[in-house]
Amino acid sequence: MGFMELALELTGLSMTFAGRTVVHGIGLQVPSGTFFGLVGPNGAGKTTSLSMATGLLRPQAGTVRVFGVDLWRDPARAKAMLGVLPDDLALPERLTGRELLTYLGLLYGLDKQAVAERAEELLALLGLLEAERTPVAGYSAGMRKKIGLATALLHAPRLLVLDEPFEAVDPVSAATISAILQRFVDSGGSVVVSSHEMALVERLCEHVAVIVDGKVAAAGPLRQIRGTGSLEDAFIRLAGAENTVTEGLSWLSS
Amino acid sequence: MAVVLTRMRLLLLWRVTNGMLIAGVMAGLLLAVATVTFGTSADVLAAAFAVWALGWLIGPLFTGGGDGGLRPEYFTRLPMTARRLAKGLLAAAFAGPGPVITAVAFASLVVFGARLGVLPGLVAVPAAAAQLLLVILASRVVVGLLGEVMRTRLGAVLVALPWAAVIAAASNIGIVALALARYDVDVSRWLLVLPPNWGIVAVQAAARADWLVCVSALTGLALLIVMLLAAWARLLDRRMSGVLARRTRHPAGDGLLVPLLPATPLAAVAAKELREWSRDTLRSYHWYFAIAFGLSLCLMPLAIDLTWYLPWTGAAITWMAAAGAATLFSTDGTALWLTLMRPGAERTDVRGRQLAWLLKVAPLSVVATVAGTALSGLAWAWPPALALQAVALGAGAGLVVLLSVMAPVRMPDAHRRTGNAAADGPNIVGLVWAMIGLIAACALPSAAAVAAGHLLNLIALQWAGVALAVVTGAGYAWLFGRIAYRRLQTAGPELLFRLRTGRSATTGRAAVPLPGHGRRRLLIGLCLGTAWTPLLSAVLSLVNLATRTPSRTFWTFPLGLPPALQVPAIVILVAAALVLYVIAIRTLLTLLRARAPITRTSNRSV
Repeated sequence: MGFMELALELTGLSMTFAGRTVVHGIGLQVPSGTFFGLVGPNGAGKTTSLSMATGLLRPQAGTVRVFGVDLWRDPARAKAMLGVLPDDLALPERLTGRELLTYLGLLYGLDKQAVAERAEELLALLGLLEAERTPVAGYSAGMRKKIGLATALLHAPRLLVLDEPFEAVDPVSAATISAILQRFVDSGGSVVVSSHEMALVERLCEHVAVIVDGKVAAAGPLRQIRGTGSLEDAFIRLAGAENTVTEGLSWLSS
Repeated sequence: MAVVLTRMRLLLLWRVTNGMLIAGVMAGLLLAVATVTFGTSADVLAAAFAVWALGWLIGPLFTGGGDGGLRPEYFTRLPMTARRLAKGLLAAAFAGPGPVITAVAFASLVVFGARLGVLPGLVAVPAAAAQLLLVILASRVVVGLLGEVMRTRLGAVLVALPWAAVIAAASNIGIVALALARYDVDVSRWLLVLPPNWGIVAVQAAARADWLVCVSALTGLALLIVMLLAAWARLLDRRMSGVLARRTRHPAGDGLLVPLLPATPLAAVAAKELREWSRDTLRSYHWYFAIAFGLSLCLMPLAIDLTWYLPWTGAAITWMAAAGAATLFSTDGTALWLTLMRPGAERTDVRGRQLAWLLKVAPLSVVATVAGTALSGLAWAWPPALALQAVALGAGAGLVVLLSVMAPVRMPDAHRRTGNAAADGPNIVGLVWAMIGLIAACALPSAAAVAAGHLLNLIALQWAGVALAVVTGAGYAWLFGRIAYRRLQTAGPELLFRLRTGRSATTGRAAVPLPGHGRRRLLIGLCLGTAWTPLLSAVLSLVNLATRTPSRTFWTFPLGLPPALQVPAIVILVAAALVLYVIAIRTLLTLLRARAPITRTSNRSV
């Protein structure tokens, strides 16, 4: 990757839960200004790795650097450049979308005017203005992803780390989210997404890493990873789980 | 079906068995054996059964719903009727320590019947079984009904009022007894009217060979059981078919204070918290419970013309409001990640939550204290009432953040809750007692100054006690808040992990439980939970003694002793309280020392 600046650099990240190692010394380099996709089977350690990479889970070993700043040693500087969408974590559920964005904006030290403008723009862009009076607890799964993305974008970070941003999102909203992220990258931002939507990853990402059993099975430019086939073929090959359902379940066909 | 569900419940129960549960089972068994041993007369039995039934009705609210982890929603897709599921779940409900302990207690009816003769003894067997079935079913139905009404703020209020009144009455049983005696209520006769005591009626009737009454009582029990089972099946059906979820309302509105708050980070947190306090039904429930408890506790004695409790109304409300907020961070669940992602926001988050709690609790409780003291007409009560109010507010504001950060409890995230406080809330009995005990401990210095002022008849010293209460209260709020945000800054990810998974540590080494860890925490909880009782009794007796007020309550029992023994009894009570507090603090320090190396290890490894 030459002397390109790195937006995110993970080195030797490890995590063990109750005697079971789920992440084995993962190392990744996300060049600045790129769209980076993280794929892997369920339970491969993607969410754990991204939690450690964003300061939400303390790693047992390894380092995380956000634009060269050690996240776990200087969290204030690193987190100021970071926007995060974690998978399946709660929000202040009784607030409406606008109240939530206002609260977070003020907590970031933005002034009242700027918070109001950014909240209005984000809500409009993500199609959340119609649910103006609904508290987050009453949102659908897709709306939760969108308001989560809005909280990640609110303080204008340089790097977005999004865990499953397209999960349970309808095609129209997925296209909106993709367009927002693409524009963010075009204007110099960097994005890391984890996803099971191979087609989306293939379309959006320039770089991809495949994580299997808590290790990086392959990482690099998309073209190099998928070779001559599709990303899905490469994924299945690397995950070592080619179609195994050839027999059994005979009782189902009664 | 029943066998499968029973095995599932036993397996789930086995998974959660810990020191606390074992201690609870032992205590329950002791109570059950005591019921059998002392339940030799119908009066005692009737009172005891009423208490057991009350326990079954109130218990689930504080111990996580009492379904032992078998949520009806798990069985939605099984092809069976709600009635059949209700029967299966009922059978499974008998597998567990609670029903077994209650069965032992209710066996006292058989012993009682056997003493009256062979036939009453034989009648007692189905009667005791029916009583057991009745209380367990009633408990399930009450939990189901809570789920029906707790979906709105008004529902939360409606549930809080009777519950708080019952618990206030139970915690001040001496006053209730005096009131009943005063109005010449024949307690034992009224107790026998209660359904859980119809078994006693049947057994007594059998002894008199009054078969009509005997059969009527047993038939009545059977009818009630059938009705409750039908009601439960209906409630289960509504819960599983999504009728309830459709009826869920999300309260909106800002209240009076939010629009007045400035646009600063601290005020933003306070505004968010105030909104959550008024919109989250679980939080609303805790708040209205505190108000209803304080009012019931302190107004009830007016029934026997005792104005003595009025000055403490505000302090009692504050105390309970703090106890209800002991899970402040836990009720927000994993939303903590937002704070952790904002550089330096931990301090603002903690201070904002403290500010919001004070804004919520202080106005009403201070008004209650001032109005209560003025209405009581007890001039001497001003300094102690104001002192207690001030220190309870300060210590409460500090402890709600400290306890909820130090002892996080995993709860379902707000969007996954069923809306039923009984089913959503975890077991918070230990936290509630710890909060009550800790505020009492915090009140010690100023209470001692005010009491000394009384004894020495020094007005200035009494008011100095009030000033001390204000200063120490502010100190507690500042210090405990500081410890809390420091903890968030150093161990925020660990707290999030705990709220996310319910497990305590992320590092391999810390995942191994510390030796004696659970036992020590139990000891701390027990000491803090009990220590305030002798202390409060001693302080009240001392104040009574100094003001020469004739004693009439359970709390001032030393004054019922011969004069020569009164002061020594008070001294013994104070000493007992101090010993308990010292044990608690020493155990806490040991625990913290044992924890420290692990925290350091996990920090270093990064």
